[in-house]
This record gives sequence, C-alpha cells and structure tokens, in this order.
Amino acid sequence: MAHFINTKETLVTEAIDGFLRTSGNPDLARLDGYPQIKVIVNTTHAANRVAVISGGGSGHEPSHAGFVGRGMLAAAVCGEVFASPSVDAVLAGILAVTGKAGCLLIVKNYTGDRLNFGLAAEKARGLGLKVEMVVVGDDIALPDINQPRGLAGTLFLHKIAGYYAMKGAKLNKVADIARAVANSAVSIGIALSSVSIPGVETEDRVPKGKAELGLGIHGEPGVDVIALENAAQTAAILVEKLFQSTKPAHNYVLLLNNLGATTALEMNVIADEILKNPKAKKIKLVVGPSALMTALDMHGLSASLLPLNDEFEVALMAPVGPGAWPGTKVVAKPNVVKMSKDIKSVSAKASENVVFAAMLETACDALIAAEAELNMLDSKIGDGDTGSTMAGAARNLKSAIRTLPLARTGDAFAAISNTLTATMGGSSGVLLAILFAAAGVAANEKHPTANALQTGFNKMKQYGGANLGDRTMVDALEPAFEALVAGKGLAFAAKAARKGASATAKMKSAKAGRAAYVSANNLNGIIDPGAEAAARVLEALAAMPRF
Amino acid sequence: MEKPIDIKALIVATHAAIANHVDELTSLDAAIGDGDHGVNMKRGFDAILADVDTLALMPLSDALLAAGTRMVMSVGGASGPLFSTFLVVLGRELNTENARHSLLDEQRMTNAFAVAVDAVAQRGKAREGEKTLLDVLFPISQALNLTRNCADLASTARQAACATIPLKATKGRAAYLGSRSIGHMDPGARSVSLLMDAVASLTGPK
Repeated sequence: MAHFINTKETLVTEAIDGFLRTSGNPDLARLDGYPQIKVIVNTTHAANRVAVISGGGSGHEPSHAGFVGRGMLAAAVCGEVFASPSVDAVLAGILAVTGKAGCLLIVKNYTGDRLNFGLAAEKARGLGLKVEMVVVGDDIALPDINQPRGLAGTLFLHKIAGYYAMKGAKLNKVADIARAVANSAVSIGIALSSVSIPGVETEDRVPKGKAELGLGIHGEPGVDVIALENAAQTAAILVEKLFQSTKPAHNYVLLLNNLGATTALEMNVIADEILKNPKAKKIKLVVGPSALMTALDMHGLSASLLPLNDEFEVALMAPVGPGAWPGTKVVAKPNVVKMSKDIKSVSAKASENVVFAAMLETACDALIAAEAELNMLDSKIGDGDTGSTMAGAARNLKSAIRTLPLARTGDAFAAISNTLTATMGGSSGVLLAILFAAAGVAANEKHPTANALQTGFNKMKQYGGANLGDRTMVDALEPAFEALVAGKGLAFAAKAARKGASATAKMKSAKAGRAAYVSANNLNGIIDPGAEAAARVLEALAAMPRF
Repeated sequence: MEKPIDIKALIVATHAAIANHVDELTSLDAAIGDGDHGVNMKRGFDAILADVDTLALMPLSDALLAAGTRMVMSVGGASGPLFSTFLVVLGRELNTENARHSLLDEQRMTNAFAVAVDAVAQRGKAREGEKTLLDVLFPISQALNLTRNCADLASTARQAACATIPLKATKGRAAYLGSRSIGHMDPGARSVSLLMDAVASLTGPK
C-alpha cells in the first residue's frame, strides 16, 4: 500500500511539525531535539502544578501529542512508529515541564515503554525531581494474562489525572486517582484489517468476512477470529466482554475509539447498537466515537469502560484545551420531533381524467419498456442504472395513476411530484420531481399546461445546473417544451426531442450529471440516457391518438 | 338476486353493435362533423374485443375500467375520452362488494350511471340539449330510476337519439355549423343508443 510520506525516517518529525503548524494553539511547542527527541510540550504549564506526561510509539495519533494542553498532558513523548521513545527522550520531556510539584508518567503497558519511561523516571528522581509512574493495562482480551496491554482506556487517565493536576492536587493524590482509574478501566478492540505501516510491506491477515477480536493497537493479532455478522453482533460482543470484566457500579462512562480507518458512519452505528443494548443501560457518559488512540489505518475500533464515581465524573466533564479531546457527553435517547405534515402527500382526492391517465400510462410504459436499453447506454458513461431508476419510478407512478387527482392538472402534477419524490432515487428523481412540483404550481395559477410544464422545466434547469449542450435530458426536453408552448403539437415536439437526444452523442463533454466525470473519448457516439428517456416518452405520447 | 353479467357476451354484443353500423355512424358524422366517428368508435371497440379474454376474467368494475383505458388509448378526438370517461367512472363507481361478484344491485347501477353521466358532462363541459351523446345518456340515467327493463331503456335511448335531430349543436364540431346542424341525428347520441340496444339484446325483455 502506498502512503503520503517522504521517507520512513522523517515521517514522525514531519508529522509533528504539521500538527504544530495546524493546532492553532501558540502554547504548544516541540523540544529542539530532532530527530532523536520528539517531545511536544505545553509551554504554559505551571511549575506548581503536577506535570502529567505520557507518550509511546507513534502511529496512534492523536495520541499522545494531540492531548497536550490545559487540563490534560503537560508533555507527550513520541517514539518512531510503534516504537517506544528512548530514555533520553522521556527524560527530556520530564525535564522540560516538571517543576517542584513533580510529574506523573502515564505509561501504556508495553515492555519498551515500561523500561524507557521507568529508567527515565529513575534518572529524573536522581536529579531531585518528584516522579510517579502509573502503568495502564486496560486490555481484557486475555482475562488471565498478568501483563495486559494498554489501550484507549489510557485516555481516561490523561483526562482525569490532568484535571486534578490542573486543580492543584498534590502528586500523590494525582497518582492515586490515576491508579484508581487504571485499576478499573477495561478495553477491548475488534478489527476487520491489520495495519499497513508506512514504508513497510505489510500483509493483511484478517480473512474476508471475519473479524479479529481482542487485538492490540500495533497490528498484533487478536485473541479470537470471529465470523462477522453485523454491527449489532459486534456491539453485543463488546458489551458482553466489557461488562463481564468491569467492576460493578451505578454508572459507567464509555469511550468509543476509532482505530484509524473505520468510517464515522460505522462508528455511529456501533455507538447506536451499544447504547441501545439493554445490558449497556448503565452507561451514563460517553466519549467519542472519535479517533483517539488509533493503530495507523486499522479498520477497527475499541470500546473502553470505566465505572463512574463523583471524582471521575467531575474530572471527565471538565472542559479542556486540547482539540483532540471530543468532550464527555451525557448519553441521551435520540430526540425525535414531529415533522411537518406538509411533507406527506397532501395531494387532493383521486379524480378522473381519462386522457391524462392514458398519457401517464403511455409515458410510464415507454420508460418501463426502455429499461434495459437505457441501462446499457448509462453503463457506458455512468453507473448503469438510469433505466432501472426511470423504470422503477414509472412502475410506481403507473400503479398510482388511479389515486391521482387527475381532473385538476395542477393538483395532478403536484401529486406526480410527490410520487416521484417518494419512489425515485438519484438526482434524476429529484429533478423530475422539481419539474412537476413547479409545473403544478403554474398550472394551478391557470397557466396553460404546456407553459406550466415549461415553467417547471426551467425550475429544473435552475436547480440542476444543466443547460442546453451539457449532454443531459435538457437537450431533449428543452426543444420539446419550446415546440409544445409554440403550439406545434406532440408529434413535432417528439421529433425535436429525438433530434436533441441524438445530438448528445456528438457532445464531447458532459457539463452536468455523472457523465461530467467521463472523458471525451468514452462519451463519443453515446446518446445521453436521460435525453434518450425523454425522447422515448415524447415519441410514445406522440404515437397516441389525437385528442 | 340479479343474474351475473356475462362480460364476454357484453363485449361481443357492443362491439357488433358498433361494427355493424360503422357506415351509418360515419355518414351521420359526415353530415355535421368530420366523418370519422364510425371508424373511431370501431377502433375503440376493436381494441376492447382484442382483450376480451383478459377482460372477461375481471370483476365488472375492473373490466369497465380497463375497457375505458383501452378506449382512450385507441380512440382520439372527443369521443374517445368521453366514452372512456363514461366507462372508467362507471367502473369506479361500481367498485363495491356486489360488483366484484358481477352481481348488479340495480340501485347501485342507477347511482353509478348517474355519476358517470355527470363525469362525461363535466369532461365535455356540456349540458343536456346541446346535441351530444349526453342527450341520450341523461334520459337513460333518468329512466333507470323508473325501470330495470333493458328493452325499455333501449327504447328510451332510441327516442332520445331521434330527439337530437331538431336540436341545434352548440358543443362539439357540429357547433361550427350553427343552424345547419338542425335536421341531423347526432352521431354520438346514435352510438349510445346502439350500445343500449346491444345490452338489451343480451338480457331480453322481462
């Protein structure tokens, strides 16, 4: 897999500078120790406040640099991708921000981090500084392991310890509360892919249709490979595991962490599924869903749970400086408010106009008959669904003909518009719905039918942004409506529409619609399917008996 | 209990009534219109006859609706939509439990017929006395309140069609002739009368 990088070696330092250029926070700085020492500090951290320091390998952004700032970290010490920072780097971080109040190191439980942060802590103590260290092992994938990994539950410590440090609590108090959080936070991850490390050939080992459960944040394999059913199943598994492992409490806070490549849509579906799970009803607060502690581009997520007490809750709810912290929110049921009744078809009662009904049926039949050919045309320049979209709408409209208020043309147009809105997807559905909605208004204002349709057509052009020559249905419809308004009759209008549709085959570029993304070569000789559909409808109407 | 309506026989009989009088209808129309009424009406009933097997399986109300649709799809001008409106609205109005079993409650037919005639009047924006098919449809509609005998109704229709002869046309193409339209039977009125005869021939005198 390709990556937007320069070199593997400069990746982290350049990324940190990019972060600093864009953070908008003038209080943030990095130490001048590149390339070995990559430390981001809050330059306004007061010496009489405990400095909360964290860090670890890179590749987990926004962790940890993103959480440096008021109310959270005083410094973040970054290693290379997935590699612990050196003792010197950690020590540099400690020395940069630690005053007489001392510092608390929050370390995720990985051997490299434990050793490097631990040795740095000893060195700092040797220099006369007060240093405490809390190791976080919130992973519950392997219940009986004696060294569980540190996962996104670590962020609870950043937030809660950061709050009490900001409030001026003494080092032992900040460290105690951090340990209390570390002892009760639990996390579990699930992923559909491994990670691709920039500059390294990586292979995705997760089989299609499977998910790895209980995996770490470095692409290390999960405990289990499970068959992926759906989001509800995923959420149920996470809820089950978390509540099995957590300590009993009245309320909990949930942290939903995107491991990198999960879409916001998926994250919200998972959030919905977790929070409506009856076993999760004690979840009172939520952090995320957000990318908080990622594993590069892993398509996965982790859920962390912390039993709440008053001390934790106050700390979690407090506003902070770092923009990467999404805030802690009170879980709420989705608010639902009544929608305007106007959106439902307020169309008038069904009424009879046999000619109108016959014309509608003829138009619908023409589109239904043209389904395959229109799809074929569209497959050459678009996504191949014009025929199905048009025919689907035509089938629905045809079955609704007897329910339409056909005796009053304006009402009938409005009802057709409502039917199209409800049944026809894509932009063509909306465009035709606009045409008929505006034509309905015009017809009810006593404009002749042809003029009313042209008015609707002009509205459609206005909203759709297509003009004559742009290779759309406008090329067929515009000359047809002109002919109808001029009183030249349907036969003439149908010929005009056909001529307009044929002309689209020679148009070198589409300026509107999906074909606008297709190159001239691929368009050559292909009639625009929308224009073809319009021509077919007019030809079918022209072939009807004269009324 | 009324007899169930034999839709197939009804279609065959009404088609024959029109087909056997194409020339007469054409010449009536040639006198005061554009001379295409006979051909147009036959085309409509041809289209209905072509689907007789499908229509015969439907409940009467659906069959009338479908026949009306075929009529308007195949007959242009004014008569296509007008006869179609009559059939479609009659079908719609008969769409009740009884009609679905092809059993006709006479009062329901009387009411449905009246609504259908009104719909034709609205569509043509015409009234009684303007030398149109309404001059036969209205009398039949009124007679339905008094009799259930199709032969009597057919007789009413024939008399009403004849009564259009002295009328001056004020609607339809014949209106362009002004006073010269007087002295000719209205072809639309004649068609309605012919169709009523066909219906009567099915049921016979009671």
